Amino acid sequence: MKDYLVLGGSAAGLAAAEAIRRKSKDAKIAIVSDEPGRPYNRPLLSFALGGTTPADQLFARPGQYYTSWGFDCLSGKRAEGLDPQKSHVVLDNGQKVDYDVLLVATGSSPAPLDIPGMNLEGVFYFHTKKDMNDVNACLKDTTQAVVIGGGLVGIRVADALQKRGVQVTVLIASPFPLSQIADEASAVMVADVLRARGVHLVTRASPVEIQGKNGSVAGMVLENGETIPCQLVVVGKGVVPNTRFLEGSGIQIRRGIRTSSQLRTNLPGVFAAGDVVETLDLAKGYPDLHALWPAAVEQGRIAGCNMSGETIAYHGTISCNAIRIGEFHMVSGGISNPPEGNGYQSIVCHSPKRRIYKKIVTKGDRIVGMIFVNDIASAGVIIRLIKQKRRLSSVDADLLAPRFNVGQISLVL
Amino acid sequence: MRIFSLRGSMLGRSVLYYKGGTMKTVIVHPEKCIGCKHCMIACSIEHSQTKDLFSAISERPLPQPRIFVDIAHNLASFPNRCRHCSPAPCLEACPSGAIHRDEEVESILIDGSRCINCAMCAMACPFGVIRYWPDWRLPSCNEVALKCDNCVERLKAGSLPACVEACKTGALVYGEVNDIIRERHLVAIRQERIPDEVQLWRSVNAALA
Ligand SMILES: Cc1cc2nc3c(=O)[nH]c(=O)nc-3n(C[C@H](O)[C@H](O)[C@H](O)COP(=O)(O)OP(=O)(O)OC[C@H]3O[C@@H](n4cnc5c(N)ncnc54)[C@H](O)[C@@H]3O)c2cc1C
Ligand code: SF4
Repeated sequence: MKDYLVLGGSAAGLAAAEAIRRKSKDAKIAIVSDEPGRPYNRPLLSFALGGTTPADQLFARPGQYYTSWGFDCLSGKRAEGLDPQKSHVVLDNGQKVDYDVLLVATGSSPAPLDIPGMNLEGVFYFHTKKDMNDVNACLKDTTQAVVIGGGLVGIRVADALQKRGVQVTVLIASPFPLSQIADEASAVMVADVLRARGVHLVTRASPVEIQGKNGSVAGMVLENGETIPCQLVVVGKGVVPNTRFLEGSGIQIRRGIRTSSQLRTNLPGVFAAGDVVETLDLAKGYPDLHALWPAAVEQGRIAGCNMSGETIAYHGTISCNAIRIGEFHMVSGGISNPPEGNGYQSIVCHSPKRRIYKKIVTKGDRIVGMIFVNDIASAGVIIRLIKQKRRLSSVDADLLAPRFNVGQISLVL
Repeated sequence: MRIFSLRGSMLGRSVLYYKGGTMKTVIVHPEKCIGCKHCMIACSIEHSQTKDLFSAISERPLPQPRIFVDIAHNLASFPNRCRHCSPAPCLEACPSGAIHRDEEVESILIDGSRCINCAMCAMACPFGVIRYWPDWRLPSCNEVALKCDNCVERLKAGSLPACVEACKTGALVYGEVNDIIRERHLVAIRQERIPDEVQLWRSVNAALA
């Protein structure tokens, strides 16, 4: 009987552990997770903060989850090192846990921000349930908040705080919000919607210092000398894979852990899945990081199968995201804002009156990216075309027509 | 029996989403569709508050169809509707657990009261059949994700889905997948390509079975 060890009890780790259990009723499966408590759904955190999701709907699994699946849960413990020669993982309390087959699913952490004042009361990242609860608790003394970062998490948190009656200012380093997933035209629409809802946006802004008063946040100082008074600061500058504890183990890491198509690492018996790995990006054509919940689940499930002796290949994914602010919807996928030249072409349909913007990015005879704003019904069809790398006989503006439907691409699907 | 599995001519066909065992489903024969849109009207009425055409048109929110008759690549009309995929990409993508499978009638359903209107399902749906609209069944009438529910209430009460009942040309039929495939006059069932992820998840499920 093999000893299975899973590091990280979130999307990827749990999907893998469940797959292993379904293959083997009596395998010994241990899960190390430094987040104590019942597993929850990370993408719902900002919705819970905004009050859209009731607290009890945050959970991804039923109560008594670990015992009902027969998992041995080392909750509240951190993995601090991996010794592939001795096949064990060292925990923060010094305990050594042996494995025959190991999954690294330690996900990602917020990219750190290093400015004076980060240790003040009222400064938070927004990545865990604890962060959400901390921000929530801080709201009773907050009338003004500053969100650092205009990415998906920053914008969603800003929208949630605004819904809770807080005056929010978002500091965005680039000229537009959502610069990772939007292009200029769609980003302008996002910015307009946010401003109309009362969120204050400062673009090309870089924070230099958080000012404190009696140990708590009192204001945010910008590079231009301006100070924005606030009682709460939320930092959302993107994420970095949690690979630090693997240093010295010999595991291959580029930006994330490198994996084969079966999600094996270069170390024998060691697999990896979720935010911590690089997997093939089907639009870009090379391995990249993808911080996506459904992709983490899919990878976890496949890694779990392969840890149990199957040989299922993971084909890769594309970065794709949906965001909704009030009446505003946007779906973006693949290379949505390509660099000038390099053979990329964009087909755009913009109807400012109807507040609809649709763009498809092509390279050669393939669609590699898309942005749909406020008419998103067929977004999934286009994303499927990108993922399936379908060659299109004629890529034309029909794909952007309001009446476009899956029947029109049947010929090429 | 001849089943084309061409990459070429593939249109709305629920047959392929059949995963084994016996299963009843709505099967679409686009070649028989004349584009009259009776199914769209019947669907809207079925999902309205009054279930009556004349009063439904003055309801707020305006009742919406969950089946869409549009023009396909060959300029023929094409009824597009949820395939109730198995496994279902929208179900996998939904972060809030609003989408679930009703095993009894093999249907993928959305629980509007759990929906946070995040649009993840539209991003995931390979057929483009999920829309967002205020739902009168919710206390605050929020805008949520809407899609075909296979008329589960009707099915459980022993009647046909509203769109099937309304379709007079035989473009939409409800029946046992096996029986229908066996029928002689339906020999030339063209197949639709299964979305890659559905195929992958099936091989995962097969490995875990
Ligand atoms: C606010 C927010 C909103 C998001 N919204 C979306 C969205 O709308 N759509 C979407 O697709 N994705 C979204 N994401 C991204 C999504 O949550 C991640 O892609 C997903 O959680 C990745 O799952 P994972 O299992 O790989 O890792 P994680 O969920 O990061 O889990 C890793 C777990 O491992 C633990 N861990 C880390 N290091 C160690 C260690 N050394 N020892 C023990 N345990 C360790 C961590 O504490 C954590 O519990 C969002 C993320 C955030 C933060
Ligand atoms: S819009 Fe609603 S049903 Fe669709 S994925 Fe989001 S929560 Fe689920």
